[in-house]
Amino acid sequence: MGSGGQKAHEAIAIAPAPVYLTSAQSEMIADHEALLGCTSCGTPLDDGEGWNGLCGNCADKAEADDGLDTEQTGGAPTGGAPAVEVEAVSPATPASELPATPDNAGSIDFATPTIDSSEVVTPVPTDPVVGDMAGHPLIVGGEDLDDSSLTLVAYQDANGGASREVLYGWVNPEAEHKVLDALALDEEKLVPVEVTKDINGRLPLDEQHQLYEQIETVAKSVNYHLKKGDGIPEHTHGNLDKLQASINGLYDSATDDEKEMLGTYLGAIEQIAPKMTPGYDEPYTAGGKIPHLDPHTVAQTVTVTEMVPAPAEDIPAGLLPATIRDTTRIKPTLDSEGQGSWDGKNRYTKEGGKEYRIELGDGYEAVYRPTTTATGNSAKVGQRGFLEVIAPAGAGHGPEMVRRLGQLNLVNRPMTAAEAEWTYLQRNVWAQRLDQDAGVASTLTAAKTLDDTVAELVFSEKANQAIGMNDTELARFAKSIQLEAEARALPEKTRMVRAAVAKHLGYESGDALAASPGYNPMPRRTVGWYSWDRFDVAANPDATTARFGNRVLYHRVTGNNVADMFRNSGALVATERRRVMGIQPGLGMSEGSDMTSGGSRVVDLRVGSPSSTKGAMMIWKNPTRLLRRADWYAYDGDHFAASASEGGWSTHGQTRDPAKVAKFKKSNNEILFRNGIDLTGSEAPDQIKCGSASQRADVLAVLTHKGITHLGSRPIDKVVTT
Amino acid sequence: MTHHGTLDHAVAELLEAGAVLGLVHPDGTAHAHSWPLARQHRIDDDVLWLRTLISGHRTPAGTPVFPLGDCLRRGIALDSYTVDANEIRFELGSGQVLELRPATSPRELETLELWDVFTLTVLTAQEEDDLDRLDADSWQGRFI
Repeated sequence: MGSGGQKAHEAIAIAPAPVYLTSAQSEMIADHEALLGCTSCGTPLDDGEGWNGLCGNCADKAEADDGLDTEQTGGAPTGGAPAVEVEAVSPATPASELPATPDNAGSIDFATPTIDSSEVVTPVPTDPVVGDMAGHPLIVGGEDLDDSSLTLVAYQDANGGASREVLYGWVNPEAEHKVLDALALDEEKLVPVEVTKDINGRLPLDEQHQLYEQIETVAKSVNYHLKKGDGIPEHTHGNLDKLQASINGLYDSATDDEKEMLGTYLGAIEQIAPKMTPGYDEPYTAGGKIPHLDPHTVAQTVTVTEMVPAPAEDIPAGLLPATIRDTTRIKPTLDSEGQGSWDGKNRYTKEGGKEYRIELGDGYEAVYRPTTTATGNSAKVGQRGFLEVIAPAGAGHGPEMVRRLGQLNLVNRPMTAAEAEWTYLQRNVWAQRLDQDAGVASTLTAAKTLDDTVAELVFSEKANQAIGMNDTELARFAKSIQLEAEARALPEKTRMVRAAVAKHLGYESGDALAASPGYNPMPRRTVGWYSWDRFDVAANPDATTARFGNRVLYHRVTGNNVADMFRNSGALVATERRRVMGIQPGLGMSEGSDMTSGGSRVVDLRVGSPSSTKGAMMIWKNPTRLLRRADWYAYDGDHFAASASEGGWSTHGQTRDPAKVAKFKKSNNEILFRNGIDLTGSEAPDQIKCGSASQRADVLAVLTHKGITHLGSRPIDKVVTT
Repeated sequence: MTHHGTLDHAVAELLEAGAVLGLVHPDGTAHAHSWPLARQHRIDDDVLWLRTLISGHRTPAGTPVFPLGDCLRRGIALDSYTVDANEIRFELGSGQVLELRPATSPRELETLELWDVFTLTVLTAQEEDDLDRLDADSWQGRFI
């Protein structure tokens, strides 16, 4: 066993625990023991071997080693693969050198996974690019996280200190219970406290006389009529006169702060009045519109009530203290180069819904947006399951942040190559709808039950370790068994599904499918995430491309922000991911947004022969460049990006077949890609058509500044056009 | 440009007065969901383009804001529709029905009022123009 760091449980009184299995369970386990082979060396098991998952030789060796170290700590057996030298995914700071974990967080023990580094698909970086808002994508094992993906972002410190690292991703709904089980969520464990806060607020005089509201009303009316060109109505003049009289009447008795506010508003009136005069002819879009004026605010200290965790002694041992609060988002600042800075604290507030702030100890914290909180509030659909792990100031915390996912009962190790193929197969089954074949469908069902069967096997091996555990320890013990079972079962599950898919598609065997052109289980890295390909398209991309003839994929962009896309991320990024990247502040989401939750996680392209517009447009003349991905779905019509039947939308007509997409007829068709599209890498468009020469110049300037000379294989000045 | 002249006129009138797009529940009894609509529309290629509004609110300082990344244009295919005095029904290829009707509830009316304040007093004229054109598939500017 590798070093593995902390042991899951200490000083357990050892006495064999009775394990009661039905005869059917025993037979099933025996079958799968033989199926899996020795869990240490992979040797097929003979009759009489395998009661503990080991062949005779390994069992003898284990017995000999028993006095040295008998405890397994959540490793990732390879089930059938020869034993290999394993090494821990090393935290940036060895656990032994970390400061003592305070309070209850420190009492929480979680398994440190061991894994052969050569098997890792995406090593966890210790040196992500600081300030890169797109972040460094990585993939973790298991199926706890959406797409098994996380993104590590290292912000520049807003105060010039060490960088601030944040790891984020979305927890799958099926795994949410794991996170919630780790938390002290009982509302009774939260206590109200009054705290003072410095806020910027409007002056009472302003609010009492609704001065800002009066300015807003006048400005709205004036702009409306300037835009229509039908003259400013008399009542708007009257409103302005009334406002001016109010301000004049208040001025003499006002305090200094109030006079400053009144002066600001008088300045606004002076700006508005000329635009109301007959004959004013400044074009609305060229300086005619009254610019925005924020309410006048001053710094004030207020007392507010917050719910905070109860004193540590009231938190049950083994659980993490968690605070419920209104949803927030990290609030970084972007410089002119698109580099992000954050001070580790500043957050956008009142983003809609509720979230938990979780103390992980040692300066680490997590933020989780659950489907339902202990108080019955939910995060909004697009944000549900969103998880942040925030490290203490400084660089190199990536591996430790991944490791600490274990505190939340989530799989906390990088994805192995074996898992990558499992994920690849799952993506391809979904993309190609292979589960419509009865054989594939039944194999998928059988594969799911394999986890449970192997879990029983693992439990039979380790049941004696459970003696003397309290309830919390038992719960964690059960979870560690489940994780180990999933890892042990994975190679066999992959083999089963690959074989079933191969049979359905007419291949001689699963191995023949694996050796076929286009079959590549390794994901491709794009900007801030990974994508898997679908092997039906990748096997013969020219055939797919030919189906489209002269038709292209395209996406129309608000014209004045094309350069910003390249400045900030170099990607066309889905709204929700742009928000968490901090490219723009996320705004509160109300009930109305639930229906578009699917839409906030995808970008929407169309297929056809688009006409020119005033705005900008990205064009992919070779649709296969994008359609080879295994994460898109499409409709020949606008379904508001519905990914599933939710909120009343039908998914009738949803297709993932490139041949059907090529024949789409409606101009409101939609082809929806998860996360976004890498505009400067392997998914670069063939043409970026700008709405004006100045837009084109801006885009070219940004690309040149970033050292990008080609998009795809073509020079940027050939790709970026007007 | 369009042979949907009657529809064009009816939509314009409804939007000017304040309108809502409702997705009729599969059982036909009520709206499964509804969205207040920006006062802008465009018809081309037998598609009616509208902008659904979501999540408007005022910041603590009082400034109205909308997440424009969620207030996207939506295209309704004009294969089959009926224009009544106070309502337009669109039958979609999927078999579902959308209804364009006057805004009536306080929430709908408040959203429309806030949208007007937002577009007319917070956005720049250029941003307003970008929205009015209804030709972009995503919003890449401020207020995502």
